[in-house]
Amino acid sequence: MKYAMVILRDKEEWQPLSTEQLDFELTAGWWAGLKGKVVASVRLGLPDESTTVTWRGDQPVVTDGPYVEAKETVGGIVVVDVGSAQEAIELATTFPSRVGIRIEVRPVLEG
Amino acid sequence: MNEASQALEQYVRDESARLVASLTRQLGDFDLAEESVQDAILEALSHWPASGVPKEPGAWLRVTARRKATDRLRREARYRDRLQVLGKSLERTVDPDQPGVIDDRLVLIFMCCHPTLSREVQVALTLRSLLGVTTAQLAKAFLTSDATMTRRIVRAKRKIVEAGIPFAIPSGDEIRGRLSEVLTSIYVMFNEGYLSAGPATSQREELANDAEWLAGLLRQLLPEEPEVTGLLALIRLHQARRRARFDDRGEIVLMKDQDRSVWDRPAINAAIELLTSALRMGQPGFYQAQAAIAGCHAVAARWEDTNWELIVNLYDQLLSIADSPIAALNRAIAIEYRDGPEAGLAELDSMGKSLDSYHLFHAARAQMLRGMGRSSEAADEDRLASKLTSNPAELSLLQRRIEDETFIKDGHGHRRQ
Repeated sequence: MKYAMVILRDKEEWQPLSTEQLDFELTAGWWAGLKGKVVASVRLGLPDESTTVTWRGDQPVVTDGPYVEAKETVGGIVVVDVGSAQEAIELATTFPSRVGIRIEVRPVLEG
Repeated sequence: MNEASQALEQYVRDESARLVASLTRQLGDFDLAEESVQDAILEALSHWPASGVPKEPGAWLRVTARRKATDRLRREARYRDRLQVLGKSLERTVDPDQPGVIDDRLVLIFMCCHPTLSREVQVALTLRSLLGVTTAQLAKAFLTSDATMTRRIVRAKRKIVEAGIPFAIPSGDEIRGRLSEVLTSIYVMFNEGYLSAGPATSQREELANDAEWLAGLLRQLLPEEPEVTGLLALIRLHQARRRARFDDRGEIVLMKDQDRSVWDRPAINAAIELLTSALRMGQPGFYQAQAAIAGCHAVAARWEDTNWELIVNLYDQLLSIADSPIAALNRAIAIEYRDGPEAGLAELDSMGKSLDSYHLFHAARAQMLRGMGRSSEAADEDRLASKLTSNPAELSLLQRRIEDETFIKDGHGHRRQ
């Protein structure tokens, strides 16, 4: 079964990990846990590099930057192939960066 | 080996890659460049033993190779247009500190790794032109005869010429298609420099430095490829600990006994940051796994602080990417440190005979047996190990261990623990 881990980052609350070593060990632990499970992985650029397209009536409106009202931005998506939703959730719980991070685990629809 | 042939071997390995690469760029002809460099080496072989090693052997080889290329061009009556090129830009060198400059050798690797060639020939050609590995050594490494290897190389070179493979770094998707072979070549180059398998020297620092530099260039080309970043971090983590690897007498110091105060901490921290950024991309790969394992050792303030649990998990990841008996051996050693020598030995013994001819397998078994107090079996294993390696630093380490075991067995007590 495939699940997408959609990694969301709160613009105001997010903080980097306290030390490099902790950051490395947590990241490496998470990464080792991905063993044989990653199907696809996308890491996105910073929100200020984005361009937002909306519509006013039928007219598209193109603005520089992310949607200003949004508190969170998508940082990346990792698609894993695992035995159960539980397994995907467990992987998400080991994600290294924590403060201001929210991960949505969602099934990938196939067929 | 006499002085002249030792010096020649050294310079062939140090200089021939540069030479072949820069001549290829100037002549636009890999085959001609390689032949000319080989000619120069042959000339050195016949002159140096009698006349002595020239003051600047590298420059001597460069001048001679250029002369040989001119001779060949003249002979083949192709010289009119190309001689001019040869006259110019010959002393062009690359400044390693200047970003954005692509080393000719990196281009050479990409050329040798062209997909029209079989993978085996790609690696053979790269090793030959980059490391100056001889055809005879290649034949041995690929378990085939000299004649077969010669034929393969000749065929490969003909293919490069006939297919008109350009001396250039490919673009876009094509670069990714050749990436795995290119990474392998740089990795082999680094390993050869970091711990040479041959009897002449234990460390070939310059080759290792060059591999680091090439990996850095490759990262400039492909900053978003986590495996490229992984390889660079791996090389830098090893380099940062280089000074602690050998003692004053040139003998290997095991990781456990290394003086961690001489590790280059700022370099380690920078490499760890680089590696962490690659791991965050969530795309598992061989070099990232190796680098992460090296990183676990590098961040531990003391040997006792090593995170063996994480190391075992990373070995599991590594084995799922590339099933290698050597990685399995190292995993067993990590299990020994996590759970004790009995657990480690059980892992080793479950691996079967795949590593019976590998000296480090026996050295590891010896260490575990020693940990369990079975010292005479340990000495037997060390003896087996020393029969299987030709590296002088490793040999002397094993020799010391054998002496220790014999000492203990003879009832004189512990000498070194």
